[in-house]
Amino acid sequence: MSLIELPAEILLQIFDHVGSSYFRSDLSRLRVCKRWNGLAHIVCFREACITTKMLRRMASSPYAESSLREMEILDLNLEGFGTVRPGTVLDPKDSSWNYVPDQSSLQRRTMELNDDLVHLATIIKQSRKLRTLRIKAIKSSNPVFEVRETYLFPSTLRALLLSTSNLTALELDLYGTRPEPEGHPHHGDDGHVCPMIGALLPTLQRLRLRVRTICADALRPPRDFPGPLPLRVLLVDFVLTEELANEKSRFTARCGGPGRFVRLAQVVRGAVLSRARALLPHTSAPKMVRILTGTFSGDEIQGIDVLTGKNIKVKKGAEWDDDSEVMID
Amino acid sequence: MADSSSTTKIVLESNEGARIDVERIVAERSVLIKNLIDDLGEEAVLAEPIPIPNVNTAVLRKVIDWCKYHKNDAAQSADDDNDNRKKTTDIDEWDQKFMQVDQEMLFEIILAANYLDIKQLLDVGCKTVANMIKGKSPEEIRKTFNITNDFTPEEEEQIRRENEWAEDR
Repeated sequence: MSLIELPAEILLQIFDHVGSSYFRSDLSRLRVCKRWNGLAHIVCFREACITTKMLRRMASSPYAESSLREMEILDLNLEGFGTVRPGTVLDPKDSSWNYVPDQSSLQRRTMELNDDLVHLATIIKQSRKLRTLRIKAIKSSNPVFEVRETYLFPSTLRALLLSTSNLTALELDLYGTRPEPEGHPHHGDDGHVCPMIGALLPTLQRLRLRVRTICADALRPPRDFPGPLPLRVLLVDFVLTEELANEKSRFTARCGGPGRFVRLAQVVRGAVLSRARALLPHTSAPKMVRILTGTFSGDEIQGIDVLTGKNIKVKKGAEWDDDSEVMID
Repeated sequence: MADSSSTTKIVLESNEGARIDVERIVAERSVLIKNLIDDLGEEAVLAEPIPIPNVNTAVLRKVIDWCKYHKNDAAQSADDDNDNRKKTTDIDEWDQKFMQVDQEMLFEIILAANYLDIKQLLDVGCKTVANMIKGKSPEEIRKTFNITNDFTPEEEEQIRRENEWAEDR
């Protein structure tokens, strides 16, 4: 009896313990032998962690689609391409100077990224087993690029959300991409994705939101849903909405559809908070419902534990649902 | 749990014909045996040995040792948290020592646990093997588990190309 002769279901269980990330971090680990490859491939692609670069390669690969058809967890880690604040004087001796893309190539790459994501949405639609979707959009890691650019179009985000079904976990962490500024080709687009998030509530057990625009609709289940909701963890983080308010920019929380501009983060916060409170009686077993209000005190972020009604403080940089980092007043 | 019937002796018979007495509570770590007792009734089960046709004597003794040590463990509750599927490969100390056997025995224990439906033991076995795989290169894995690479260079290259898009770079 050798390892490779064990029945498939046992080998799968072993690979499950090894974990998808072991294979993903070095894909040569799939190619031990034919039988190994056949089974390890299943475990490897049960979880997908897709980056901006990977998306580009996916678009030209005929193999990506079939590999992702059985995925259960999708992590989408997006990074901006970088925009230089107007008027910034760059030091030509600085090596990062070489990477500053001109406006037209930046625009082309942004379009490509969104096309690639819309293509990914068609793959998500086929993957019936997908239950966890986490989208993280960070700004360019190049320190030269101070301004967060708009690289994830609302229409793209909408396509991604609409492509899912039966999600049990949704996490949107989109602080690194801006709502489109005026004059942007996509400015006319109504970036209101909140009702689409609300529409997913009938199956969601976890919902974590750190987005630049949000309104109470994100916490409004479909009118005809009889309930109760399976939601157990709900986290809304307003940290960056606060930052957004401080910017005194025109990028106000434009949510609620055309004509319903919400100018003050405070107002949105209040609406989301009271919506979260209203939601509570309709959930069957809530475990953690927190709204982080985005006020800093030292290295802690203040928030409200909606379940207990108490004020809480969460250590900056702590995991969003890390219980141990919380102190209750 | 601690009713008198739990200490009743049950006889298990390996595929080599060896008979081993075990307490009912120990034998019932195996869901297969537990269901058998529930279905046939204790009298019928006591009347003659229960044949375990897929397991040899050495492996059966080893599995019974595990069941004896773990006879009072609480039944594992169904994991209600599928999103957070536990990927931890931590194994408690006694089980680690228990699993310090040669590969042949290790795989036989896993097969027996699977056949007898002892989920916790199957888990410990699979985790032990997983820990032997983790951190190893494909060549080290082949060496450790005596696996022959049956890919032709062309086939291997084809697989590499198929997965190229997903490379972490």
